Amino acid sequence: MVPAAAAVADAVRDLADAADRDAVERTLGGDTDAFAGVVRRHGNGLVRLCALLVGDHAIGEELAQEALARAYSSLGSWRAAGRFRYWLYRIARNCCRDHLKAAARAEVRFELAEEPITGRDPEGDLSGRQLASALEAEIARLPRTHREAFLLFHAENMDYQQIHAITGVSVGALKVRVHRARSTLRRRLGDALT
Amino acid sequence: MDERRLRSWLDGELGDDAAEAFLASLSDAERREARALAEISAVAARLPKAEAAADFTARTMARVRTRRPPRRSLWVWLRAPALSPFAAFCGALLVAAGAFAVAEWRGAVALHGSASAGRVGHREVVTRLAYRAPLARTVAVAADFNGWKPEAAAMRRGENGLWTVEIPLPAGRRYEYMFVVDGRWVTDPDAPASVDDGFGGRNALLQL
Repeated sequence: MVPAAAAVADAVRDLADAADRDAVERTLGGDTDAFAGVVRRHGNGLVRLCALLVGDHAIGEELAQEALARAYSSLGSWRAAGRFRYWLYRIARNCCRDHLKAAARAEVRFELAEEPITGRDPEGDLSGRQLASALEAEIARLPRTHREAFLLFHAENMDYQQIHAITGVSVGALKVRVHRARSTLRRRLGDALT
Repeated sequence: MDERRLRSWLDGELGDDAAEAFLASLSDAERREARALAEISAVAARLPKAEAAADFTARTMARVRTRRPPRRSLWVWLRAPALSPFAAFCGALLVAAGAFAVAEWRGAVALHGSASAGRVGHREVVTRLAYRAPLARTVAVAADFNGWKPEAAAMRRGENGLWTVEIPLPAGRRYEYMFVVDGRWVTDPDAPASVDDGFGGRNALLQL
């Protein structure tokens, strides 16, 4: 991101944060409707995050709703020292983790072949749309911690500090996870890439 | 290939010149590999983004209204950086009142360096007397509350030669006492007050 664009993005985040703080105060004061502002500001981002982490739009939306409802009940415990958005995303991430753990217990994970995806394509050359689909499928097979770091960094376009604020994982560890995820995807996608 | 540099390049941490220099330093095969990794990042950035449905806010608020309304956490409130002076004053008052109540309840009234007391009920106070005498063989307390009989309140030797004894005494009164160290009568050197004993010495005072 170029410096000017980054400055604008920071200013927008500051404004959103001020609006969040105001909404939290009003909600804590008994005005439940004030929380609708939080839902409107962060609904899309949370749905996107949850859908990415669990790999399903409908479940992602359900989890985003649950995260917002949990955040509402726990508003009193939010420490105003940090950005409200990160706190909200941490709750959403925990909802997703709970869901994925429950899903893992409920079903036996299917085993996917280890061969590169191009092995299934006689041309060995995937179109952009096919490549995106293949990438999505391979992302879903990554270890959870690698998938999370990779998606937040590349698909959600967060920087490492932001991801650290949400996950609590050190920046160094996040960098390693993202790179390992890239390397695994590279190996599995094989010749489909440039 | 220098993996750290590769990671920095893929993460967009290298400036234009550094990125160009990095790519130029690679062999053809390494450059192809680096570009394949970069393509993964680019395709991931273009993955379709989920969006909330049009009625997401309404449905979420309906769910929110079924939940327990939030309550302000006292701990968070007390730690709030923007605590108003009035709130801070009230908080301090609350803490002071709590501390006073606890102190009153425990009757933990420190009397002076060598004697302290804990209240047991309304009338009696467990008083702890202490005297440091590392080389002494016996230490006792002789006082008006035991008829000035040292054998009635022998003290126990603790760590570093600190002799102590705990005696329950009626509260609200003043007592006079002395330590008897190996048979020698000694005024408590840490007592805040003392009175003439009528024999040329001084009795330490203990006010409960």
